[in-house]
Amino acid sequence: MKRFKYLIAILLFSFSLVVNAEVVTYERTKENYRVPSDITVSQYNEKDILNTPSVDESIKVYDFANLLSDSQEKSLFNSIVRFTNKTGLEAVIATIDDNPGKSVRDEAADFYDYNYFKTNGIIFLIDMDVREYSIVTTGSAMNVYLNTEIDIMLDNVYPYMANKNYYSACNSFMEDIDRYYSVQEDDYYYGDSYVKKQSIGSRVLNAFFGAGIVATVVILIMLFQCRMVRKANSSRSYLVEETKKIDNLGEIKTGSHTSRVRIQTSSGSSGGESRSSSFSGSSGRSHGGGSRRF
Amino acid sequence: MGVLDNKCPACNAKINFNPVNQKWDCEYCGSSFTLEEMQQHNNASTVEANTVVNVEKMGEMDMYHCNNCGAEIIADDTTTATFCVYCGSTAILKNKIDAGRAPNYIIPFKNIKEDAIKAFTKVTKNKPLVPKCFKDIKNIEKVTGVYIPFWAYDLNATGEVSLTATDVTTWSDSVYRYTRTDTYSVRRHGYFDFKKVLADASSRFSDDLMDSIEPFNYDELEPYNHAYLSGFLAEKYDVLEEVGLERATDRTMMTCNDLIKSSVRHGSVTIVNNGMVIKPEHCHYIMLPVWMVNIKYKDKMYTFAMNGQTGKMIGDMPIGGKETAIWFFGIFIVAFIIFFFVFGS
Repeated sequence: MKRFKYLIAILLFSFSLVVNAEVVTYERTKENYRVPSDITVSQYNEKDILNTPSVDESIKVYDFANLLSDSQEKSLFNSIVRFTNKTGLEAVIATIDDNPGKSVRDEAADFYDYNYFKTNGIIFLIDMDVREYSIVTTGSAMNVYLNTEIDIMLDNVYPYMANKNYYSACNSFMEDIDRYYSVQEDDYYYGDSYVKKQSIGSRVLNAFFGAGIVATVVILIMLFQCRMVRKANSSRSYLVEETKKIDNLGEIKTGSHTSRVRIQTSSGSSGGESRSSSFSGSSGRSHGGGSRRF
Repeated sequence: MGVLDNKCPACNAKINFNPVNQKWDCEYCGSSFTLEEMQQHNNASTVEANTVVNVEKMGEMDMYHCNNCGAEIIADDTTTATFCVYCGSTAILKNKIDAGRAPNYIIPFKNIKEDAIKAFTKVTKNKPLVPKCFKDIKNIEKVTGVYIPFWAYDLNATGEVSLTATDVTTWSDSVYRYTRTDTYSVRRHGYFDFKKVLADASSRFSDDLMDSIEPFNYDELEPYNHAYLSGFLAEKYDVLEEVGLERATDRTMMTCNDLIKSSVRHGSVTIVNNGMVIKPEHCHYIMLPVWMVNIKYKDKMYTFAMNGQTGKMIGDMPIGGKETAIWFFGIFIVAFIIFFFVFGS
């Protein structure tokens, strides 16, 4: 009997590892839209707000499509907490299996904007309905993860998505956002440009070579000004303009050749159709990010 | 063979051409004469008014006797006007001018010696790499007004030229950048007349230096007259007309090519077959005014030339090592600070 109870306990424990807990959502009403205070509700976004699940912002991992086990969710949650403690940025992972009729990127942006997440963060959303996943940034995270990084992250996630290994896909996302944040700590932003921060040594070296080039060019110009004697290569001033006569004896098009080169974009190339750009969500907030089919 | 020296019709003293008023001014009696007046008094260009003396050969140099003081004047084969070192009289060596071809035209000096010194000061003023002591007018060894002989060719250029031309158009859509290259075969026939294309006719002066002081204003060309040489040195041609023609033809051909190419309205144009032929129609022998400024710096002579008509001053300047180093490091330090603090932060 004791052995039987032990077996039951193991089975229940195993079951708890496999079976997913339901995501708790809160009802949105016209009286209480449950959106952050900076979001203005209007006739244009009201429907989007009402269709977006309202969740507990502390959960961080929202597996509506039941792709992850509880333990996997917990593991991801711990990763997110570590990441947030380190960076101050919000990170959210969500899976859905019912697309409300908008792009996955917009869905990710709305899910982030219409819940009480931090204004600076990143969300990874997997939509099983249209088989597309998206990474969307907002606030200062837009400056940390530019399109280039997002496309690389989408690329890195793709093999796992194609193999239905969603947990590994989420882990890949978490590893990437942590790694790129560490890289960018050494860099900085100037306006909209992402600039590598230079060490003192490299600044000195760059300034040395830059100054050397400038000084050399200026000295060469000054030297050129001291050399005034030039051989005459033209008789233009002796031309009798009235006698100048040029007849067109013929002009034939002998060939035409067109070549094309693919425009280098920050889009990934490892597979799937991708989109990546800055955009505004229905909330009015600006976002960066992209999506990929799988 | 003889020496011409223009003499004042009033006092018979030596008289020189004054570029400022374009007249012949006598320093002794203060009289001033125009060319016509000089000619009326049997002066300018007349052999009779001047003493004729015999020339003696001294190796490669010729020796003359000054009409004014009788002193000996030594001149080489190409000198046609010089000065007596004792009395300062101008000696125009007529036999040199008469030997060979006589000049057709002359442009009289319009600038004076002081203008040349001013021009030298101005041209070296804003050249920080040139040593300060070089700029000092005390280093000017000699400022000499010289009539330099030039060949001036009337050239006719005519012929057919074949060219290839290409147009490159680029555009793009959301995926590709397209580049279309259209190639054309073009034929043109050109006809051009050039008047008095210059070529230095004296080997004593650098061709490039003489090229650099161009252009001269041909509206002020005068029929040649010995009288204009008084007060100045003058050279005789020693570069043959045929040799000068080659230089004039080369530069003219480049101009024809440029004109033909500019008539083709396409992006890039290349000449593949040039049938342009340049024929000389006439060659003028003209004397042009040049102020030669010689500066001695560190035992080396630097020659500057100023167009005696327009005042354009040309010459290569020495570069000071110390000045160059100071300027290089000065610019380097400023640029370094800017790069380090402005672009690096």
